[in-house]
Amino acid sequence: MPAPEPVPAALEQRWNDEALARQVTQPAWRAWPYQHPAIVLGRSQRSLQSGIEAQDSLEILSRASGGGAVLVGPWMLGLSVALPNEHPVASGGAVNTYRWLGEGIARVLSQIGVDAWAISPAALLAHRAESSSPVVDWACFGSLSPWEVLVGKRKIGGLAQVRRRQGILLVAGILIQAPQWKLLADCLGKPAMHAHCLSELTTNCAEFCPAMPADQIAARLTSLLNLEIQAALTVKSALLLAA
Amino acid sequence: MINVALVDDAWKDVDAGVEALLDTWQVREGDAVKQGQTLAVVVLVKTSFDITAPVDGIIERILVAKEDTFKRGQALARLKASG
Repeated sequence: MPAPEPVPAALEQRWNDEALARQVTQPAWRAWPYQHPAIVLGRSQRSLQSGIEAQDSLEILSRASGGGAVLVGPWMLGLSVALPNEHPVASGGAVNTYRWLGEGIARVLSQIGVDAWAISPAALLAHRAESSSPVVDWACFGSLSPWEVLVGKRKIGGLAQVRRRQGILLVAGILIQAPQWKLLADCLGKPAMHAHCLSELTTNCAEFCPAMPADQIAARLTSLLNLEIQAALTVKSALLLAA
Repeated sequence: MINVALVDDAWKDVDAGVEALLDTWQVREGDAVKQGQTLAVVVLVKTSFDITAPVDGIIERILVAKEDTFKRGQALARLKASG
């Protein structure tokens, strides 16, 4: 399957908004390689907007889901999955729905040689208790939530979600290469130390697949994610029909 | 009088002590609302949830202000059912 062409980040947000603008009756998903850097703020980050330094080349967007700011760009692969409310993978609450996607992303990353895992709520509690790492909670990749994806103790995949009457939208970001964390911190008026912390708290696919160009990593992940999501949703949809 | 709250299912597997954030109110006290109408949007564990009216009625009291946090089971508003 050919990889999708890189797109402006605004197109992803438009797809997400349109996915929940009407009742979701069938699962739909799409991977997002990005043309250019952009900052995507979580829906409760209005206060950050006042501190944003003007950047001619950097688009600032807001998303409907919660969580911290994300610096999208050629170093990241985004993913959107829209589900009907009654779909089996969406049952059992929001945290359980994250499990399905987080474990799927970890399996896909393992297939390209990235030994990833999705952190359970219990493992997350233990991680927080033993960790001396700072939390940069204004940034998605500066903190951890249940079933987000790590390699060792460093985050590689972030998740967020929207649950409405019309359906459920899951979104994910997977780090292909190291993002320009300083650009994110500078633009949001955060200390340079936070950029350093984000670098320490995260990892990316290129660290484990140094011979593979970033666009090939994105293409391979897209292909594998399509297979993973299609297989999971087909099996679960069959269960739904049989119920 | 009906208490409007975030559904229990939303809190499943969420650590005790974690609170949700009231992101926005889409109605004001005294507004007439229809069953299923979105009243507010809240955020819990990076998930935004629409809070909808369980029945037709009037928003009598908003109990949690925008940008405040709230606990599991806490009422967000009181709704007086119509009829």
